[in-house]
Amino acid sequence: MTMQYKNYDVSHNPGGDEPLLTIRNLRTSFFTGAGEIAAVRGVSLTVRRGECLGVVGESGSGKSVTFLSALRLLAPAGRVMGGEIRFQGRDLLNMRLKEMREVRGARIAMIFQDPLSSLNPLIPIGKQVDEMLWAHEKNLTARQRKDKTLELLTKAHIPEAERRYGSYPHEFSGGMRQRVMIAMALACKPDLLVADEPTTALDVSIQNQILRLIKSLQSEMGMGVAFITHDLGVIAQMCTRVSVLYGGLVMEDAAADDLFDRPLHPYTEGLLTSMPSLMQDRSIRLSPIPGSPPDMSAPPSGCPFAPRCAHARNICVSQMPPTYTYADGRQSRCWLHSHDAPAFDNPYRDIRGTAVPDEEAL
Amino acid sequence: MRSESTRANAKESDAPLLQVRGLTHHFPARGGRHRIVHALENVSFTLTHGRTLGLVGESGCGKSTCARCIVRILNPSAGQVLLDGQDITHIPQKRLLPVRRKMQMVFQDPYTALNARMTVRDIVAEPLRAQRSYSSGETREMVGEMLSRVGLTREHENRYAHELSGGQRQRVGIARALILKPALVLCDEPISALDVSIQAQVINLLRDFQQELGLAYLFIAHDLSMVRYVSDSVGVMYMGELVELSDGGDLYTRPLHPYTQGLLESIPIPNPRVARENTARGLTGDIASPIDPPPGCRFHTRCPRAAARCKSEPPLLKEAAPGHWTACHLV
Repeated sequence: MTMQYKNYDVSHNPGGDEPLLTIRNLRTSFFTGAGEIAAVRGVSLTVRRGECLGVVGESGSGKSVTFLSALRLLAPAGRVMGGEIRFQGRDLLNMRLKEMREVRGARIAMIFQDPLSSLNPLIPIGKQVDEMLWAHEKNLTARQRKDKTLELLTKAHIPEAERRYGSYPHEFSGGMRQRVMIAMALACKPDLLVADEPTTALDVSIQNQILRLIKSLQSEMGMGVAFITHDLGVIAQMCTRVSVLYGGLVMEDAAADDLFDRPLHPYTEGLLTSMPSLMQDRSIRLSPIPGSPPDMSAPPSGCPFAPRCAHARNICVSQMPPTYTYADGRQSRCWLHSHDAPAFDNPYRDIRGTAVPDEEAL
Repeated sequence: MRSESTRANAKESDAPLLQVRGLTHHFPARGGRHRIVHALENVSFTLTHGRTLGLVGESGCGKSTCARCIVRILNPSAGQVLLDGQDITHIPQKRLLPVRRKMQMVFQDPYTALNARMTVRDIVAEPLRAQRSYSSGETREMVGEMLSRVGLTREHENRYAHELSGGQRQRVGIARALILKPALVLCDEPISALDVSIQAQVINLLRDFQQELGLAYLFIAHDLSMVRYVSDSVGVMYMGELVELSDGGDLYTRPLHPYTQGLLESIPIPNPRVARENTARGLTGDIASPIDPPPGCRFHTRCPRAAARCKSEPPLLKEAAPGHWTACHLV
């Protein structure tokens, strides 16, 4: 996957290895009639230039809320309670709203699961792409904007862009609408694309087309991508690195190859074994993760996965595990990596004790 | 795996439970002007007791319409549905009650398929009450037993659907479908609204019931790996037509129809190393309009190998290998 780095040249990026987006210990809550819902409880992750970070998790794991917090697009009931978010070295959480608007759309673009609710049904799609350019690139003339819009639509593989310019969203199929969203997202050549379940509502055949499109545009434009999804197959196809979220926390962070070779968290392993592969032996029962995800209005004080974990011990239920970092950079938030974790029934007994726990959790 | 369960023509089948013959459903398009949506076109298959037939295809391919025509939520425009040898295609709604005892349905979206104003107990008891042949004591006992079978407890009985998680709601949907101990259950995307970790729980539950009660399933889904895992035979639909049908795993290892091949190539491979090496392109283009379906083979607009004949002459489903049917001129 080195191909994606080919446009990346350190000399053009003073600061070298500094990540594009750094989220440190983010906490976000929603305040509802039922009290505080702690949706994100200390998430740290990074997106580097030119890489595609996969963010996996089930509904309610906090994966979307993390990025909505970063873009300051939370619903009124949501509030960032703590943490730090830096994009290209700038503090997003304390930025003035005017500056934030310049970052959103121009430097960080987003595409969502349901393109129909993100598009204005009353405005032709060409006009909507045009509007992005009008908002962020004031020096373009109307003629230049139109030419650029057509170029973008073609780039997003919308056939007969000229003829489709005046069409309305309802005249398009789901896949075509997502292409329009992609054209809009890429209008200002963003440095970071946040793709929140962009293919979940699409058929596999169309999903495949959209994934290929995003990937080729990514390597062409050299942007970083944060790809939010619940589908590990999509992660495998798209991402170089993966953060696995559960109960508002990052449970595991690893290079995609390593994660699929050997997951280092029981939850990741559960996700991998609960879906059948195309070669799955039909006589073998699936091994689902028992139980259901935690209620975030009263999150468990220990590891959120402990009630469903086959390896859980007393400490898992009572105390939040720290994040253990291995020498190769892999991270896992699980007590089984501790140096004093027992060997019995421990899938990580061969490596336990060799990782460094973070301090804030202790 | 190498079962003889499904046959495109029912001549030699063993005790068929469900026979679908030339099932067709057309309905007028919105906006009228005598435009017709060809939702389902001449679909035939047979399902025997205790077996599972999976149906796959893109949205709008007619797989749900097919299930709805079979249970008579929709009335088919042409064709026949035989359940245990009895033609149920034209039975008036009033006399469908004994038919529904043998045949039930599990829906995709457990959020909308359950009445928000009924308790779990009432939802699960409703099929029993509709049949009018159980005392209230029997009903209560059967509901309690059924709920514990699907992994819910007595305390769930008084809850409403909104108080349950997605997985629990689908368990209620399954309990409702199975309380009459039907011979056939039509599952329309039963797991696609559920989280990944919950999907496998529901699939295991369905499989346990099948072994215990000898149920037959018509299992409709767009997740091809899951369909392969649960099904004895698999049918692929495209624009209302059955384009390929196979007993056993042949369909996945040796797909014959170019559409099936493209569909299989489109599935993301859950292994990054393998995914990187994968050069297959999958399907190009979008599904055509079902209002004016393309002449000839309906897939020819997207088919990489389409020949002149494909554009004019519709291919018929024929047995290309033992137990493996396809509708393609090129096979």
